[in-house]
Amino acid sequence: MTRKLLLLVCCTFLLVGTAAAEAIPCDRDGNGTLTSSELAAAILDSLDARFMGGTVEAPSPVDLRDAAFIYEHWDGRALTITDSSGRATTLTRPLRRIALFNSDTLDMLRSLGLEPDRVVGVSKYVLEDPVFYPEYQGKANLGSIWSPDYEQAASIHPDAVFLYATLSESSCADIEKTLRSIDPGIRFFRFDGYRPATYAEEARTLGLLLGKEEEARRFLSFHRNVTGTVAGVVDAIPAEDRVSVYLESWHDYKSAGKGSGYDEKIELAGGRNIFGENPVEYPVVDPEAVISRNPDVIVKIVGAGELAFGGYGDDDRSSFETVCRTIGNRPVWDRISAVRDGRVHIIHSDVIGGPEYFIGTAYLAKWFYPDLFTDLDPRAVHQQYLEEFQHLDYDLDEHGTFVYPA
Amino acid sequence: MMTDFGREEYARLAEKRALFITGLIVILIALAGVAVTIGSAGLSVADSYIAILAGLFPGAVDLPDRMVESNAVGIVWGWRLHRVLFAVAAGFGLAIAGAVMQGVLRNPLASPFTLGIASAASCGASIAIVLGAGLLSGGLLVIGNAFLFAMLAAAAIYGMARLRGMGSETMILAGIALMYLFSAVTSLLQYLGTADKVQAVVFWMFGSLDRSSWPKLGIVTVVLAAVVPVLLWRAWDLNALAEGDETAKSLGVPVERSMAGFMLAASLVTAVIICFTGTIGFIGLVAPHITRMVIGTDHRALLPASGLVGAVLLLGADCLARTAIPGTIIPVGIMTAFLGIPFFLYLFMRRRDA
Repeated sequence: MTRKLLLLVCCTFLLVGTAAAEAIPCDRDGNGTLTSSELAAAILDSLDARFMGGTVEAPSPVDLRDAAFIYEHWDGRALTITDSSGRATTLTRPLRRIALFNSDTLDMLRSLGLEPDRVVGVSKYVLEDPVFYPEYQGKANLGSIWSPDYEQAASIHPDAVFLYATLSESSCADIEKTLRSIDPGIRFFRFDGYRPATYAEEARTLGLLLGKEEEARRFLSFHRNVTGTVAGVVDAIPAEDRVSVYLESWHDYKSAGKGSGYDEKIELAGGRNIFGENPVEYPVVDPEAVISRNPDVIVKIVGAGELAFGGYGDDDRSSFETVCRTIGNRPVWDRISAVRDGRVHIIHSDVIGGPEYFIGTAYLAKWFYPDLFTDLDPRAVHQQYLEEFQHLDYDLDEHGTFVYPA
Repeated sequence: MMTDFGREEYARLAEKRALFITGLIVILIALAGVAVTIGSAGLSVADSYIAILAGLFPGAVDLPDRMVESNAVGIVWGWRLHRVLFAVAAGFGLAIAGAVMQGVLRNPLASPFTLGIASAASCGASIAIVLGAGLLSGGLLVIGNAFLFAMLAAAAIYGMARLRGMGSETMILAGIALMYLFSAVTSLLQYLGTADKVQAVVFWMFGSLDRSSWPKLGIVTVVLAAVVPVLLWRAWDLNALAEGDETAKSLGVPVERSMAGFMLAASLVTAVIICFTGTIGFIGLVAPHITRMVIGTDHRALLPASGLVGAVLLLGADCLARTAIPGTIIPVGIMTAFLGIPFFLYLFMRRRDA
């Protein structure tokens, strides 16, 4: 009991410490708004103290830097951000030490041009992928949301920790609770970074949070250009003319049911999921049911489980071809229209399951309606995304395996 | 009539027990002393202890800058200390529960695993994780379901045994049947669940001390403090029960009521621990056996000594789990098996009368 009490005292002590830091730096009159004259005075005081031998109490370099950020990006006021879990957080300083358990959000932050030195810790999946995340190798390893390394996470002193909003909520809640008890000063943000429904809004919010509003606008216009082109064409296709699609994940016969992420993407690309009415999110379906529903197109996703090949780190394209052939060779599947017409496509989960979903959706749309999307070049979209937004020196002509037939 | 020879023998045994228990306490304290200094944050031994002092006497200790920088006090108090104490409490409780179950059922294989209590808890947790369904909500959903299902399984075993006539075989058979049923439900949920949820279920079932916290430690401690003294006080009844129902009856032990009471107490202790940690069932099976091989079957000594063996095993396993692969915490449920089974087999093979 005494121990608990002492812990409480200890926490209160720490909380007082953070509460004192809640004021906006260089806001002299303490009215919560940093005006241009307050900032100018702070800069002059600082110059005076550093170069003219002035004796006025000058702001610290960190305070000055933060004040300049707040003035430029947040109109000199504290910023209240609502994350995708609906929680509002008020910030009086920019985030400088970010820890991310969520690699999808990291991709999004990269698209917004976040400087890598503002990130202090990443999930183990980021460290396991040096091809896609070269600049994050060497950052602290936080483990995964299922097996977090709390000591690492606390010892790197993050000012913000990013977790998923709708994925493994109970694990993320555990992480939040434990880290908060270690360091009550940490702020938590929940974003998904891969869900089509919230993607654009999240990018906008993160842009504001990190002072990358302009970059967010540019990225969103690129994103909207792709999604809008696809939506504009497929919206005009009447329901009865839509191609029927059988989607299969890396587990044989494991498809996508109502409301699942893949179901949503088939719909975005204008297809009709033949198991779209199945109430189970990822049902394992009967091969007979696929034959009898006779889909026009088959899409197989690889990149995990027994089919863990392809993607950014794999330049060997032959394995995709094998998967494609195996599907055609399943007993009686040669009667399915998709197999007969050669419309079986393989796609890697990197470009359909995560933050690059809009690239995958563009591929799907082109496969579903090749005549309507003659001008759409998903590969070029992908290349532009990598070069311009992910800032990667990666040539899709030479590296990586993402779709078959290419 | 006890002969002089018997008296001597008994005195030797008593001495051996005292030595064993004292030795375990010393090992446990030493292990705990080491455990608070290890972890991926890389705090030095001195820094870890300064951090403990700083937490105990806030303001009294002048923290060096490097410790403020590395968040040492937060890490030690918010993470390591309760984890270490939780390992001790959980190991202690699981081992005593196992010893009680083995004693009551007169079966060396009885444990929360074989009686279906652990798989019931897993099933409850899976329902919470995959379907999001349960009695409590938020952070308590998984814990609440695991606890509820574990207690339900215990009640079901008791109920079936009640109908069919209390007997150790009935209880064990009923437990094994339940174990398969709950495992099947868990497998079905894993089959239907999304990848991330299946992942969460698998990690839950590994058993881990990652989810410990001060309040959880408090709850476990309160339950142990309430149940363990009663068990120790009634340890004679366990000795009588272990001799067989008839012997127990003739010694004036109300067999059915005692069995039910012991099973309830053991189930409660198990449930309250594994609902927080996931399934670490192995301690409950092996710790009593190890203890019995060393100090014999008198439950008055066997119960506390088993508890200490369990605490040492779990804490030792957790230390290894946190350091074996730098930067990675291996779930402690896996580590206990790696650590405990070879030791158990060694003792087992060494014994001539095994």
